Order: sequence, then structure tokens, then C-alpha cells
Amino acid sequence: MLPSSLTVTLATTILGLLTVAVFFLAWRRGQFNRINQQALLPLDDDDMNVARPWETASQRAERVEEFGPPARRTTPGIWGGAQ
Amino acid sequence: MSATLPARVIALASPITDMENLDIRLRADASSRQVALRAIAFSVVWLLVGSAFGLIASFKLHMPDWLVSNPMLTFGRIRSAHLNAMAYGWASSAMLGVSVWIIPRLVHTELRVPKAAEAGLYFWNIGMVLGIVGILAGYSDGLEWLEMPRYWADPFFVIGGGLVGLSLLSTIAVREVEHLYVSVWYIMAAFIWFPIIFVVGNWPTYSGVESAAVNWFYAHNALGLWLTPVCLAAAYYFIPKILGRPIYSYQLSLLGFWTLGFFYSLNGMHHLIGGPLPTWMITTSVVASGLMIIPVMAVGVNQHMTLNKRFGALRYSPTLRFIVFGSVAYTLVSLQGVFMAFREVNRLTHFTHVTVAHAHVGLYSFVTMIMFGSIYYILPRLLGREWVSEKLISWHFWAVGIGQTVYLVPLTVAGMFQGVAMADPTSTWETVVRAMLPGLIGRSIGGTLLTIGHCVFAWHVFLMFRGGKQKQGLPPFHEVAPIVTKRDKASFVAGGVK
Amino acid sequence: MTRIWLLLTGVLAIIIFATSLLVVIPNTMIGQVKIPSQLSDYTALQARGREVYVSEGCVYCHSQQVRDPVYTSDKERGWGPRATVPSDYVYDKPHQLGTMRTGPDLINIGVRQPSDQWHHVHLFNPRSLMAWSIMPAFPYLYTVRDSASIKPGEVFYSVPGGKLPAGKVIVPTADGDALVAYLKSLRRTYPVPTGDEPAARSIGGRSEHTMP
Repeated sequence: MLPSSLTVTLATTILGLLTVAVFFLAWRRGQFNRINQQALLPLDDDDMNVARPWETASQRAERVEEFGPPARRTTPGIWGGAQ
Repeated sequence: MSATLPARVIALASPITDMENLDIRLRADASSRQVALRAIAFSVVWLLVGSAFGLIASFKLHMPDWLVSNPMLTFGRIRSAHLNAMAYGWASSAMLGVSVWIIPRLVHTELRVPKAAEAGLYFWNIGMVLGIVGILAGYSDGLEWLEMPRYWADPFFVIGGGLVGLSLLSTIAVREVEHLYVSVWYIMAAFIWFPIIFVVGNWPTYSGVESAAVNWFYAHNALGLWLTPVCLAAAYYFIPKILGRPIYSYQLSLLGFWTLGFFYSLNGMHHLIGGPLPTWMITTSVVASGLMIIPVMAVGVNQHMTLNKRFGALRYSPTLRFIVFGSVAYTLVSLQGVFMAFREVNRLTHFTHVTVAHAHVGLYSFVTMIMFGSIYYILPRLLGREWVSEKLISWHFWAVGIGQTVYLVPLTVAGMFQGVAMADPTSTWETVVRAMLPGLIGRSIGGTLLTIGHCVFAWHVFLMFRGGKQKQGLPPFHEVAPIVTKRDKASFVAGGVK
Repeated sequence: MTRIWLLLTGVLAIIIFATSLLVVIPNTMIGQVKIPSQLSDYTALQARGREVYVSEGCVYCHSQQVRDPVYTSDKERGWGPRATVPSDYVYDKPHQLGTMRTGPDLINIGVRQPSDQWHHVHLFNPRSLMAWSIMPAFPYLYTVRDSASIKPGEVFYSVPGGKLPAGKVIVPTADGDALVAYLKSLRRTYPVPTGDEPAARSIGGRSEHTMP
């Protein structure tokens, strides 16, 4: 009534390897290239060059260094420029 | 092209430096606006309905002679109405909204076939109504998580989820960025996984022990391959977005995605440990449950490191506060789950209220909190107005925060006493019942607090949709800026941009 | 586009992998469980009772399984003489194994409580028998009647514990009768059928089960 443990082990291994193979294929096709740039995908430029109020001086300096001088917004109602 | 966004959103957004990015974002938001808003509105209705069911069910466990004359209100029916209204009505509707809103933003184009997504949302909610009515009328399929009648409610979920998925996949197919951000992977995978596991779970041919195996294959994966991926996608979007810095390790996030898909789907049988199933199936599940440490730690470490040294942000952004609460809960609940899958622990916790509490850490502290956070971010951007009241946000957070503690701690502790009492064959069943009672009462108190929080939230959402006068001088929320709840706005503004 | 399809393939591979491992393989394995000679299919009345059991959601508080006596007290608690095995459930569709024991296990309730009277009075109001019980009352499975109105041959039960006014008795509805018939049919006390011994179901011959 039971398949031998060998059958189960083989089935598991083959199917598992298939998944791993697809993963590596995706890797080779470049979906995992330039990983650090990919991490920036949700962020727009205006997310980067606005300092956050909770950031320390050094964290702000880091931000300026990486993403340029902070944007200045003067329109009332715009974050950072509210009256 | 952005004609469907309120003028106020455009006016507020326009002074921002990079017009090109902004334009993409506005087009994306405009294309998903209608579907996302309706999904959020539906989800909040289900949140209230599900809370009412949950509260009734909870009180009935220590007031067993309350509301017994009507079969529709019997515990067994109200309890499954609660689960389905929350998991498929509230959480899933909200997830549909969050998904159609996030995907266009991440692939830098408009949502394609939004009509299909909208139709999918309606199908889904029609299925919900039929399903809940079916359960209350006594037509439950009798399988946990699959109670809704398989012939006249469940097809609506397959079609509905499929239509929304079709719209999302068509959008991703014509994307204007080369790579898929980790959130896109999670959401895409979830929309492919869900119809498959749902059809497999509902297939009408199984009986006996096999029915149990399929039941828990589905029920565990409903959390792992449907709710979890979309919520993690939201966390991976909002945390970097609000902090203005990329995720700590992008590799780690991809590792988390693949290992989640690989191991989670094997976990379900740990709900049947000790039961009449082939030992190897359960052992496989226990091993897979142990392996879950990999994706869980990948997510946990990643999100912690992204937030590291910036915890002050939690005081400023309600979105971040809810999302980080949810992310921490994800790590904790998953580690708790791994622990509970081990036989020696399971022999005490299985069949006790520890499991119920555990399920609520997952579905409430993780899924629901992430959805609250997402809605706090999305709604102002789509409606073009700020949340009406900081106080309401604060009350909501503390009501559900304290409510969860009051709910979960006594229930977990009482569940452990229940397990210990059950394991001792000399203790009578009366002893077992008396051991769990304090937890059941604690849960009702906690559940009441949660429901109060939900009413505050629903009222706030209603005020948002109703519109009306905007308070002037509030710090804005559109685009980059987080919604601010910190009292001292003067120092916030001064410290903002120099 | 290629990458989209790659991802889709990967996702499908994962799902097919898991489905086959947990659904298809067990289907071929335990789908062919032999029907024990001592176990008969539910009668029409018992089957209707099972539907009531399912639609009232009894499973959310009552399991139907006796676990391995080596590491649980299920057997010592008197819930059954042995751990239940797959062939005990061949007629169960949908399964009602359960994951919660707010109340006791019911797989052998027909052995523990063979009395119609006990079941009916208990279902009508559990607190008429046990003051500490938190099980819901199911008054809608009964009609409350004047004892004077009972015709000869009609089945009725009086309820102790002051849960009914004097002179009133309960008469089960068709659903109430069916449910009790189903509960009384729950007995899995025969020896483990040949070929379904726990040892035969584990890999490599090692088993934590020691029951005969």
C-alpha cells in the first residue's frame, strides 16, 4: 500500500531540483543582475533627496552624499515647507 | 492622462523636482484609483461585519446560553462566518486594492484592463455575500477555511481572483522597467498560487483522511501563499518608501521569496500531527516547517536592518508604525509556528486555544496591521486629502494594539493550561474547561477593544470618502512625505528640510 | 517577456511539486485504503445527522481522532482503545478530524454514551447535566411540549436541572433525531484492520506507534 521510501525520496528530489533549476535559469537570464539597483525600484528621485525629520546629522550627510542636495519645497502644504 | 486624479493631488505634487518620475507615479495612481478605492471601501465593510461575528462567537464561548434559539447564530456557524468574513472579505479585498495600486507604481506604467480588475473585485465580493449567507444558513462545506459553499460561492473567488490577476499580469507584461522588484514577485506569485490551491482545496472528490490532508494543504497555504506574500510585498514597498532608503539586502529579500514558495507549501500537515495520516507526510511537514526559519529570518533581518537606527520614524508615520508592527509580528508568529510544529511542543499545544491565538497573531498582528498601514498610505494619495484627525489614527492604533495584547496573552496562557490539563489523564474535563475559561473571557475583552478600534478606523475612512472641508496647514502626505502623527509639528517642520 | 514566463514556470513548479507530494501521492496511497469489515457505511438517518453535525460546526470544538498513545493521553482519557487509522474514516466526506478540543473527542462517543436520553437532554441544554459546561445549547433541534399533549408511542424526554418549567418535555425534531443517531454511530473500537497498522504507514519500518 505504501510506496517505498526510495520512490518518495526520488519524487521529492526530482521535483525539488526542478524548482531550483528554474530559479537558476531565472538567475542566468539576468533577473538577478544589478541587484543593488533593483532595490531602488520603489523609490523615486524625490524620495531620496528629501531629508527625514528622524534622521541624525550623519544620516542626512550620508543622504546628501549619495543622492545630492535635498530638495527644497516652498509651496504651502508641501512637506517640509508647511506654514 | 491624470485626469481621473483629483486636482488637489496634482497641484500638491507638481512642485516636486523630478517631473518624469512624478508623472509616472500620477499616471499609475490614476489608472488604479477606482479599483483600489472600491476595494478598500468593501474591505472596511467586511472588517466591521467580521468583527461583529467574531465578537458574538467569542462571547458565546463563555455565555453558552446566549443567542441559542436561532440556528443562524449558533457558535459553529458564527465562528466560520467570522473567519471567512475576515480572511476573504476584509484581508483579501484590502489586498486586491493594495495589489492593483502597488503593481502599476512598481512597473512604471498604468494598470492594464482595469475593467477586468474591477469586475474581479465585484465577483469576489458577490462570492463573499453568497458564502457568508450560505454558512449562516447551514450550507457549510464542513472544511476549515473552505466553509463557503463550493458550488455557489467558491467559483466567484476563482473568477474574481483570476480577473484581478489577469489585470496585474497584463500590467507586468508591458512594464517599463526591466527588473521585477521583490514586491512584484510576491504579488504575482500570490495571484497565481491562489486560484490553484483554492481549486485543489475545494475539489469535491476527497473523503476520509485524504480530505483532511487536502484541507490542511489548502488552509495553511491560504495563509502562506496568499495572505503572506501580498502583505510582505506591501511591507517591502512601504518601508523603503517611507524611510527613503532601499531595503538593507535585496539578495536576502529574493532568497526569502524563493524559500517561502519552496517550503511553505509543504507545511500544512503539521495541523494533523499525531493524527491518522502516514507518518512520512507529517514528518515532511515538520521538517518544512523547520526550514521556514530561512525565509522568516531573511525577511526579519532585512526589515530590521533597513529600519535600524531610524526607529524614530515610527513616531512620525502611522503607516510605518502599523507596517513595522506587522513585520515584527510576522517574524514572531513564524518562529512560534516553527516551534509549535515540533512534536514535543505540539503534543501540548495541539487542540488548544494556543493555536487560535497563534492564528490571530498571523492574521491580525501581521496581516491586518499591514493592511491598516497600507490603507493609511494609499487613501490620502488617491483621494487627494489628508486624514481628518491625528487623534483618530492614534486611538485606532492604541485600541488595536492594547486589544491584541489583551486578546492574545490570556488566550495563549489559558491554552497552555488547557494543554497541560488535557495531557494529564487524571484531570477531569471540567478541569480542562475551567483552565481555558479565563482566556476565553480575556479574548472577549480584547476583541471588544479591537472592535472599538475598527469602528474608529471605519469612521475615519468614511470621513475620508465623504470629503468636506480640509484643515489647512497640516503637513502633507502626498508623495514622499509620511503622514505625521507626532504632536510637535513645529519641530518636525523645522527639522524637515534644511 | 521571457522572464515573466520564467517566473510563472517557477511558481507553477513549486505548486505542482507541493500538490503532487501532499495531494496526489497520498491520493494513490490512502485513496486505496481497504474498507474495514467491522465498519459499515452511515445509514440514511446517520448521514443526515452527519450533515447536521457539519452545518452546526461541531468540528470547531470537537475532534474525531485518537492520537498515538505513546505521546498523548487520548487513550488513557478513555477516548478510544487505540489510535485511529486512515481506514476508520473511509465513509467520512467531508472529514471532521478537527483541530480543537474545547470539548472532548467524539470518535468513540457512541461507545461512551450509548443512551438516546443522555444525548437529547445534553444537546437541548448541556447545563442540565453539567453545570460547568460551555457547550452551546441547541433548543432549535427540539420542540418543547406539555407533557399532557404527548400521544402514546411518541418519544419525549424530560429535562433535569430546572432547565424547563414543570409539566414541559422535549420532543426531538427530525434533525435532532438524526444528529443523535450519527453521534451514537461513532465507534471505532474494532481491532486495527490488516494492512492499516500504523507501522505499515511509516517509512523505513520505524514507527512511534505501538498499538496492536
